[in-house]
Amino acid sequence: MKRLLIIVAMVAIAAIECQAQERIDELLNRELNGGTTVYRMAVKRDAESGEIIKRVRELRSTGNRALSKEFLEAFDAERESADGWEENRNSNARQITAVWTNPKRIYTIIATGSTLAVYAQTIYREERDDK
Amino acid sequence: MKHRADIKALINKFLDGRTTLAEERELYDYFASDDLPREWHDLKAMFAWYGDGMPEDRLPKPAPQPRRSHRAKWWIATGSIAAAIALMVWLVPERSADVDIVDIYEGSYVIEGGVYCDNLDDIEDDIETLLMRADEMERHADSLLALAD
Amino acid sequence: MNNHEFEIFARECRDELLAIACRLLRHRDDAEDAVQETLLKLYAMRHDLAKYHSVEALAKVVVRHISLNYLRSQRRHPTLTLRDDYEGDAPPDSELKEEAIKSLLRAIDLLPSKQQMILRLRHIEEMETDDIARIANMSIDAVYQNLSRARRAILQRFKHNNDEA
Repeated sequence: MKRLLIIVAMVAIAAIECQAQERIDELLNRELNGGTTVYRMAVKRDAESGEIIKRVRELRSTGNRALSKEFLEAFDAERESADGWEENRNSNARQITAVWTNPKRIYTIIATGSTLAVYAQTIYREERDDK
Repeated sequence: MKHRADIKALINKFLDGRTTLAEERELYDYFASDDLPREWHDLKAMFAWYGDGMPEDRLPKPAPQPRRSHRAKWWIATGSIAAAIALMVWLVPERSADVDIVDIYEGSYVIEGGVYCDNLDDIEDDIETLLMRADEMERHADSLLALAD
Repeated sequence: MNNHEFEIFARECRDELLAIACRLLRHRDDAEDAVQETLLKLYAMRHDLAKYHSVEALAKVVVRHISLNYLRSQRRHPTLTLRDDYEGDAPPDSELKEEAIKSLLRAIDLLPSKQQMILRLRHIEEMETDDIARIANMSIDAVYQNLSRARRAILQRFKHNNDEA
């Protein structure tokens, strides 16, 4: 019984660790195959060790209001759990930055009437200051 | 016998991963013919390979990859954060440019119009632009966290 | 284990395997890849699985091994040894003997990549797309994507070979 409880707890904790704002991530994954979108994955590594510093995903779409709406709803749904949140809005556009720590993840959406840009980045470690 | 345009459409569907088993058999049968346009000889060899059960010894070796050595680039932001994107300056380090270092963008890719590309020589500009933008967003996010504390 | 039994097994153990992969890889996409590769490789070995007392325990060891292989290849932890594969989440010795684990992991390493496994299921076993999706616990679109990438990579090889000739 104890082992079962440990397993259930492990699965739940890992699910939270890896949850990574599931609704936003699921939408990004779904749109990978979309013909009207541009999807970029950028990986930045330490030049000497090859260790990954950050991964950034970008999705851009035009003329798809329904998709913009879906993403904005996904952001709104995640608002309560965010560690940092900023929103700017006018009659034509809406921009949200949402931040989670531990692990550090930053999600940004810029939606105008006809265009959509979504950014999702995961920071694995701080870049060493060798500038 | 299918028109060439139909076969082309079927080839694209095959390369998109979306053909049915029956459509794939149709492609194997079509490409078994000896009466094919010259520019389709590589496709003939490929479909013959699939049709014969993907024998390991008949799969050509991959093209040798040129060794990539992307020098790590450093940049400084000038002006305010809001103007930084327009004012980013790239500096190349003075250290030797001949030193081979780990490819710092390995794992990056772009999908545009359903076409996937992970050739870093082709997408390097896109990736660097995206990372620059991301670093800017990270600085902004850090300021949000600082305010929230 | 037949196909239907394997599909049930895949469905039931998927969440736990994902939890193990997530703890090691942190990034969800990578963890999903590791779980899919695990299921595909176990499927390839399904006729040999009867000799193992607990296929579930086996699956946990394999997903850990595949996740650690990924970390090794990414050069994050170059000092990882094979020993690390069966500590941590590995089941106690009474379920799987160390030698059996080593032998299994060597066999797993010899199997082709996830993309190639999917290609083989399609072209050699002539499996329908939705059957592949069920075995590997992935979406149909993901199967299309994997097939597409593998086929385009194969085409490049034949094109390059043609250019060289």
